[in-house]
Formats: sequence, C-alpha cells, structure tokens
Amino acid sequence: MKISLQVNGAPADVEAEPNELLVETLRDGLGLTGTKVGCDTGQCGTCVVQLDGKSVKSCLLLTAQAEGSEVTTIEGVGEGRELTDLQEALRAEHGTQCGFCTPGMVMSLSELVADENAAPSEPEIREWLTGNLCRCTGYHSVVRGVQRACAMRTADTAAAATAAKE
Amino acid sequence: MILTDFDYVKPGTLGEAVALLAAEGSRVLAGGQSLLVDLRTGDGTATRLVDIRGIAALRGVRREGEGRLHIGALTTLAELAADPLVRAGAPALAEAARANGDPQVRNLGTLGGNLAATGRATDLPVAVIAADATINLAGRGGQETLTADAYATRGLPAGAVITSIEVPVREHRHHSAFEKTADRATRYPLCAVAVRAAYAGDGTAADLRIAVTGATARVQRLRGVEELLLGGPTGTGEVLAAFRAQPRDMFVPGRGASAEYLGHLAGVLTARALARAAAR
Amino acid sequence: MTIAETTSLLGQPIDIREDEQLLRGEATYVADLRLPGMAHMAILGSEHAHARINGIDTSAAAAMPGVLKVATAADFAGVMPLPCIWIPGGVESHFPPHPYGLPGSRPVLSGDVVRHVGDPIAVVVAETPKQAAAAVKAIVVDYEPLPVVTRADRAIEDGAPQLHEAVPNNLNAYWTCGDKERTDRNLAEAEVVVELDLVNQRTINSPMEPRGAVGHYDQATGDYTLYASTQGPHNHRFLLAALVLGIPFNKLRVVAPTVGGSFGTKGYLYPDMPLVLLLSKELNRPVKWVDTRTGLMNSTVQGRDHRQHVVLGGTRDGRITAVRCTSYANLGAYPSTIGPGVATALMGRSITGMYDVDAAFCEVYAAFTNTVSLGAQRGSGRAEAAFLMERLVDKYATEIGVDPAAVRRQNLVPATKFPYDNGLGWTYDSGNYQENFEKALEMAGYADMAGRKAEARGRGKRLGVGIATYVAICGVGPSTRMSQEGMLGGTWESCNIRVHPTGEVAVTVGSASTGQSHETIFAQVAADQLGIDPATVRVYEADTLKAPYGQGTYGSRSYSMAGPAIALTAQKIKDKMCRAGAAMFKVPEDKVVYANGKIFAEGDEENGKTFAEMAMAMWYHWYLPQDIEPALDETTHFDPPDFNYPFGTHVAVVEIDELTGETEVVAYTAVDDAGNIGNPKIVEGQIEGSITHGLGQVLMEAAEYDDEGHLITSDLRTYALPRAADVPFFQLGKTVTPTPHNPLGAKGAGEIATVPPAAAVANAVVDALSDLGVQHIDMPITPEKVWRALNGTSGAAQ
Repeated sequence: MKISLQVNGAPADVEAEPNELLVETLRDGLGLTGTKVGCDTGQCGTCVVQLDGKSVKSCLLLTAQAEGSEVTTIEGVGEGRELTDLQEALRAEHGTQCGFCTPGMVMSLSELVADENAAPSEPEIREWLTGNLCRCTGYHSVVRGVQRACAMRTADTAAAATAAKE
Repeated sequence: MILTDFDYVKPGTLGEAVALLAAEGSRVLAGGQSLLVDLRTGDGTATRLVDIRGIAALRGVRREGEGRLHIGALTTLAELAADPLVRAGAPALAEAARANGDPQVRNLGTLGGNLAATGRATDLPVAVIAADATINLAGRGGQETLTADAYATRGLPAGAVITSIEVPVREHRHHSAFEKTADRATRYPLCAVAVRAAYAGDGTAADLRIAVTGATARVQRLRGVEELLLGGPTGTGEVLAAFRAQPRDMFVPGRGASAEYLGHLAGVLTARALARAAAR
Repeated sequence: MTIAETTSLLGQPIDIREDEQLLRGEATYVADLRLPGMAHMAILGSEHAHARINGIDTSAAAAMPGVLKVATAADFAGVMPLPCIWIPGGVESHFPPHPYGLPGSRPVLSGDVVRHVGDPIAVVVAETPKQAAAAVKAIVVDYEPLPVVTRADRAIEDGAPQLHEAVPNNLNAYWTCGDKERTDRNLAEAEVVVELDLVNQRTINSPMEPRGAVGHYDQATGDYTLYASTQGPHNHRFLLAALVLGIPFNKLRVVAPTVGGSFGTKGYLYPDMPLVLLLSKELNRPVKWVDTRTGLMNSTVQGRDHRQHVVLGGTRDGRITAVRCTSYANLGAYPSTIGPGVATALMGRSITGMYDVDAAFCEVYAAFTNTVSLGAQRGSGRAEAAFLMERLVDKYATEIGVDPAAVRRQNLVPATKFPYDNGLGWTYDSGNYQENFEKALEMAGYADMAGRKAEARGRGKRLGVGIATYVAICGVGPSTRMSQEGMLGGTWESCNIRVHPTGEVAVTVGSASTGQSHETIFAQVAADQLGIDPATVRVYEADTLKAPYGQGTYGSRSYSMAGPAIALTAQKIKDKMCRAGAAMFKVPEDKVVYANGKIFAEGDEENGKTFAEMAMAMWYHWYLPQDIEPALDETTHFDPPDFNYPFGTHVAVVEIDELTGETEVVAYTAVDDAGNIGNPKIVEGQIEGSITHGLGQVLMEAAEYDDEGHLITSDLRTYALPRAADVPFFQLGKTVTPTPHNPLGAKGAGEIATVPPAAAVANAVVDALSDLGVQHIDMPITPEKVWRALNGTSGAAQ
C-alpha cells in the first residue's frame, strides 16, 4: 500500500506492506539507518523516533499507522549538522560509548527537554529513561548530560536577561 | 519483523469499524503496542487490523453532567496522566496511566487498549474498577454499557470496541490511590492495586472498593478484603490480616514470584494505597 | 639525544572524538551495511535442547518466494568445525574432534545431533530478510528427543545424558590450582571454619547491538571479505581461514565496522561467520545475516555459571589461613572459542583476591551441558572469584564477631610484599591495597553506618552496608605465560605509526573497539608521546587489510597492551627523527633534543625543526645519510613480561523494604586502581557501566533454563537489564599504582569494576538482615527471597 508521511521535514511517499513496521521503512526503505533495532519486543528503545513531536518506538508501530504524520529520526534532529544543545551536553558528559542506544536516547530525551524551560529532576530523568536500555554507560553520563543541557539553557537565559538589563 | 500477513484498514466511523470487526480474524488496532509484539513473536494472530484511531468520536476528555468524566477510549496514557480534569477528578486513574510502561509506550498506548488487553496484567483496569467507572462499548448488537463490577467479573464481550469510559468525579468523601510494583523486565504490573475509600469521622472505612491485578488470575475486585475492612481501621496490620484471611487459591504465582508472595505484596500495596488515599 | 618528558596529555579528560558521530546516529554497524546485490540469510536453530535429527525436509522452504538457497549440514561436509583455542591449562582435557587434532567445538551446522536449543541446523538465503525468515519457518525437522542435562554438577554424574562421544561423562577437564595438601591441613587445624554453597548464576551479556555478519566473495579475485561485529578481526581471520574454511590466509579479510557493545560476547567464532562467506561464494552475491534479540540469547555466549562449595579457615582473632573452592563450571553444549580457559584459570587463580592467605586451593569440574556455550562476560572469572571470597570473609567476620572491615584490613597483602605470589598462579605486579581500602571506607562514610541504620529503621527500611575488594588479572598478555594457561595462540598487541609528509600522523593498532573510544585514547597516547596536537592524529583499526597484526579487545587489555605498543612505536619515530636531526644540525646524536614535538640541537632551539618539518624532510630524504631510511613508518609488536593486576574496594549501601523485601542500592562507592589512567572520562564511564552491569547480576539478571533445556529468559521481556532508575549516582575514587610491566604504567580498566558489585551488594543485604541470622541469599537477590529471609520462611536463608 502507498503511504504518505513527512520524514525529517520532507514528504515521503513509500510503498509498504500492511505488516511493515515503521522502523523497517525508515531503515530499509529510506536508508535512515540511525534508527536501530535491538530487540523484538519493545523494551530496548534503540528504535525510538518522534511521531508528531512525541517519542515512540518505531518497532511497535506499523508504517501504515504513521500515514499523514510527521516522523523525526536522529538524522532530522537539529539544524543541519549542528548538534542540538542536548547532543552537545551528552557529548560533553560522554553520554555514549558504543553508541548503539544513543539515537534512541536522543530521540526520547529530546521530548523530555523539548520545552525550553524544562528542568527535570534526577528521578524524573531516570524514570523517563525507562524506555531506553544501555549496557555501556550505566546511564550516569546520560543523566548528567540531560542535567547539563538544562543547566546550559538556564545559564543562557540568565546571560540573556543580564544582557537585556545592561 | 512481522511474518504473518494481514490487511490494514482505517475506518472513519464507529459503525464502519464495528462492521469490519465482525469478520473472523479481525482485530482492533489502537496503540498497537501489545498486539504488534504478539504478531511479531507469533503469540497472536490476525488477518485484518482495524485501526480505530481515525474515529473522532473516540477521542477527548470532558466533564459530563452529574459529576462524571467522559474519557474517550483513544485518549493516550500520556494524555490521561497529564489531563487536569482526570488528575483532579480521578487521581488513581491518572496515577495508573503514569505508572504504565515508559514514556514511549504512554505516548502511543490508549485507555481502550489498556482496558482491552488480555493475557497480561495492565495498569488501568484496577483504577477503573476501583473508581466504579462504567465502560461504553460498541458491538454488533449496538451500544452497550458495562458497569465496573460487570467488567471485573465478566471481562469484555467478544468483538466489542471500547468507545469511552464514564468516571464518577471524586466526591468530597471519596479518596482514591493506585500502587504498583512493576515487573523489572516489562514494566507491566507484577502486582497493581487501586483503591477508593470513604472514611467515617473516627477514621474507620465507611465505603471501600479495592481492585487488584497481577497477583490474581485476572483483574478483580477484592470484595472479601473490603468486607473485612469495612467499619474498621485500615492500617497496615489490619489490611495484611485481611489479605491473609482470603482463600488460599485467590492468588496465583507469576513472573517468578510465588502466589504467597504476590498475595502479601497485594496486601502491602493496598495498605499503602489506602494510607495515601486517606491523606488526600 | 635527550627526549624531554612531555606527558601533559595523558591523564587529561579530553573530549571523546567518536561521540559526535554516535550522537548523530551516523556510525555504521553491521546491520547498517548495504552492499550491491546483497542477499539475506536466516538461521534455523534447534527447538530441542538435545535430539537426534532423523531428517530435514527443506522442499517447502526452497519453493518459497525469494528463496535463493536452503542449506543443511550436508552442504558443508568439507568445512571444518570451529576450533577451541583456550583449553584448561596443564591438565588432561576432552573436546569434540577437529581434523587438525586441535580441540574442536561445533560444526558450522549440526547434522546428526543437536545439543542446545538454538543449535544451528539449516540456513536460508533469500532476497529479503523477511523472505529468509519466513522460509526458515517452513523447514521441517524430524527430531528424536534425547535426555537433557542443564547443570554442570549433574552432567558429570554417572548415567547423565552424554553430549559428545569424545568427552566421557561430559567432563571437559578437572582442573586445579594451589596447594591442596597445605590448604586441607590448614583447614583441619583452623580455629574457625566457615562454608558456603554458592550459585554464581548464568547471565547473558546483552550488548545492545545483536551480532551480525556480512560475507562478500569476489569472484574476480577469489578474495573473501567478512564484515562482522567482532572484538578481534585478526583472530577471526586466522581461525576462519586456517582452521575452519581451509583457505589461504591471503584470501580472507575481516573488517569490524562500528560495534555496538560486546562485553566479551563478540570475541568468539560463531557459525554464521563461515556461513555467510561460503554462501556468498556459492551464490556470488554478498550475504548478510543480522541476529534478533531472541536469537542472540539462544546463540551468543553466556557468562558465569559456577556452582561452588567454598570454605574458609582462620583464627579466632581474624587471620585467614586457608581458602578452598570446589566449582562445577557449566561450559554449555560446545566449548566456545575461549570458554574453558575462562571457566578455570580466570576464576580459580583469582580466589584469594587482595588477601595474603597462607594456603589456597581451587578445583574446577568443567562440564558440557545442553545449554548455550559459555564464554566471557565483563569481569569473567574474577567476578566469580571475588564473589566467593568476599562472601566468605563476611561470614567469617560474623562468625568471630569482628567488623568485616577489620577482618579485611588484617588480611590485606602488605604493600611491602610486591611482587606478590598468590600461591594460585598469579604474581601480583604492584599495589597499595591498604591505601585503596581505607580511601573507599572513608569516602563511603563506613564509620557512620550505625546512625544511618537507625534512621532507616525509623522509615521501615533496613539499611545494610557491604564491602567487596578484588584483584582482577588484566593485560592479557604475556604469550608464553598464556600458553602455560592453555591458550593456543599469541596474546601480544601491535601498533604502526606512519607520519605523513605534512606532519599528520596515522596510528594503526591491532585492537578493535566495541565502544571504548579507542580513536580518542590512542590518538591521545600518540600525541602525548610525540608531543603533537591530538587533532593531527588519526587512528585506524579493526580491518585486517590495514592494521598490523593484533589480538583485539578483551580482558580490559587495549589500553595496557595497545597503549604501550603506541608508546614504543612513538619512541622509534622520535629516535629516527633525532638521528636525522643529528645529520641535519651537524651535531652528535647525543646533542639533539626532542621536546614538545620539536627537534633541535642542544642550546639552539631557535634553529630547530618542527615535527611537520622533520616529516617533510624525511619524506624528501634529501642529503640524509644512507643509513637513515626515508620516511617515518614504524611498527611495534608488544608482548609484556607479565600480566597487570588492577584492584579496588567497593562499598555498597542498600535499603531493604521491610514489608516487600525490595532492595534498593542507595549509595555506592568505588575506589579502583588501574595504574596510570590515560583518559579519566573514558575510564570513569566504563567504571560506571561496569558497576551497573554487576548490580544487574546481583539484583535481577539470570539466564534460566527449564528442565527440557529451553531458555525461559530468551528476550528482554523475560531477562531484565538494569534501567536508569535502578541505580543511584556512584561515588568514584581512585588510587594510582602503576604497573612495572609496561611503559605507560597502565593496568586494565574496562571491566574491572564489574568484579566486586555483586559481592558488595550481597554482603550489604546480608548485613541488613544479620540480626535475623541470615547468612546468605542466592543471586539474583529478588524481593521475594529477601521477604522470605525477613520472615524466616523456607528456601532463601541458609
């Protein structure tokens, strides 16, 4: 069947069987291999993408279900080749080792910090990561990365406020 | 990778959906996160998936007359957890939605799908039963309304689509809460409990609804426990004693835990839920 | 010549250059490879744990859409079985046969008998992965089920089901180390003897990336290329070409693309590797195979799995005099590439850890069972050793009524005793265990636990504190020494440094990263040693066509093996530059100074040459003496004089819910000593991951087989991995005791912190329940086991 979606801001018309999963369309059909497959049952979170701004597991969604939706994958994050502030903070904290869980983590956490004023607590960050498994980092550097991203924004806001006053 | 073949259809109206579902092998597809896993692993089968997410009538949360909330079956768990009306009027339901899975599961998973799940314990049914909500269904025979107690005892009729639920908005005297111990691997409930209680002036329980899942063969209301606690205090000691007094075969083993432990855990979670409810 | 010390870069937490690519999702893993004309393979694994195969009907599968080939064992009659290259050292051992007389493992496909669920029987190659997977389901196998055994201790009993004709009673080896006589005498004479029966349960490594392989045979040249998620491309090339396929070494190239975690599992030979190569040749198309999670759990090596009876003897006043361990090690159905060595030497020789014990003895019965093959798992062998020792020490402390910290303090190997022969086969290189131990206790606030316990009790929680120390043999290693341990191969490492005419540098190593930031750290070492900007250094590895021979990444070896190889190669580069400099500056060689990437005649820095200028000069080779070869291109193969022995002390604080028995790790302090550290950012990340991995084993992870040999925990719905909310931030500290065994003074680091957490947490849980008389709870320590211990009911408490 023919399915029309928006992928990373561009229209994509794909031909997919009814039983085709979104992750298969993204990886095999569109060559967007940043989205990974790490399990068969929806626990690992390496396939997380955003569907209309909400993080979802693309291995638990038929491509057909995404008809008319805006899909964002890791390839579509940020402006051009610029890292987002979240990615930058994760880099600073070394919040990735083998990198296999990383795209899913970024797509999940991008929703958590989507609001400019987001300031999740440590337990909230840890709870949010329930859907993303990582075997390398023990999650610590990832949690620190989110905290750093939020702190960077607060610092930016404070700096902007100070600049405005002056 | 799903190896089984099926048709995918997305009707725009409830009537079309019900007609499509009449065929053998048709399954409702809402969030789809349980169904698609079952189809991947071969634990489930389908020849046609009827995607009901295009049916506008199944959406939305609104206040209904006589202190009731109407919640559309397609309300996602994330919406349910965040909705101000639900949080104020049916806090245990919001808590149950929040306790579900992970953020990605909550973003796709729906109220209806969670209530219709079979073969695994899910979070929302206990909250719906404890809240004494009613469940609106559409089936071949037309619209039908199921009371919480009928849902708890008989489950859903075959082939029916949940369209919405109606929840009595928390009255002044009613207090509710949800507690859960998640299975480590799946985050499904190892055991989950929801309670609704009203207390007399002396702090004794004047009205009680307790529902449990995970520790029992299927989700159910624990009338035996309610009866023992009614009219008395609901401290941890009393609650655990009431659970111990239940028939031995009421609790079942699961996920590597014994029936004995799960029965005890259900008691602890109930005591904690009642303590939190009373403090509200 | 004078070479100034310029060690300013090592030890700095410089940013990780790999991270940007990973954060953008741009790294290419095996599953992301797409070659023109690529076909896809799927594997049919056995449904039975032990069965005779009376027939296989592939006709329906062969007729399915898109199917290019269905193959069974009969199609690969000329292919040799996989070899096993680490056998229990110094003892008689029994293996399935290999035509070269080596220890054999499994055939590429099993034909007559299957020995574990998932044992590969047949493969399908089709146009798409889905077609291949669907066709596999259509293969009909006529199984005749045979009796099954899944436990090592039962497998060696008389009358147990027999797995291999060449292995009587399924006993691969009875292996021992230490002094049995003295140990038994000390135990007989000991004032106090404590014993434990332990199950160090089987676990599944579970890297996030399942394994995969792409085979590409080039008909024009007759060359094979294997792209695989592997920890050791050179090793795999050697074993595959020489010992499995029987093709010229020159005809096989092995490439590891980005590898998504391994922790021990991807250093092994697996049937899929030869299969994709053979089928690529037959079909004249690239053939790709990518595992599923359930496939991984039924095919990729699993870890731990020892059943042990352990005994400790000591005096009333706290001096440990003897330790004895009898262990039944479960090797699975076939010996994995290095499994038998992991199960014996790595565990047995490590059992006394940080303690100076008069006599110790360990015996291991290594046996085959109808389960997935056993291999390494992060901290393998050493974690099992630390668990038994640290549990014993706590039980001993309880028995004699002394604080567990005091007993440990009294028995630590004194700093004056290094190098220290532990009597079990290891000679510890260097250490200051007292400093390390006291630092950890201090950081953890060990002295103040009584107050915290009382405070927790007021909240309905029982607080417990547990200490675990360890010594983890790393830096594998000295090749001759490893041969004595039964390793059939060299274990050295290598480096090539090529200085381009522009002064940029290419560092190529024989190791292969599976997520340990090799590009960053190896560039850091080279830049440090050469005194140049790390941004000008590129690191290459993991491709046998380009990299000098090396053994790959395992046993936390890369930094302490490839790192020194880089340093030694950098030295050769500097030496050669200085010799050329002497000619250019017309001064004697001993008057040439190399400092901060600059070469000059002593006292004349102004007229010196930069590193880049020297590189260009060597490239042109104008007016340089004939005995100085052109260009700068040097290689080193580093074989260390001995292993290195990192160590550490971890302190876990847990709170147990008195009503539910749930255990929460509320604080965790780790003080590890990995010698000189190259990049603390990398090491700290690995330590945090390692501890979390160890907490997984003690609190939730277990590979469970039913009596028919089916793996019950065969996906991530049934096998729990630690999540972010399961762990608190850890408190990390370090001590630094360089090893004398390599020029960087570096010890292993990547997996060492996985060694003690299980023991630390188990000790903490038992501490929390000590007033109830609880002496041990088996892993994984589930809420129900703790609840039963709290209530004194059956099963959990010993």
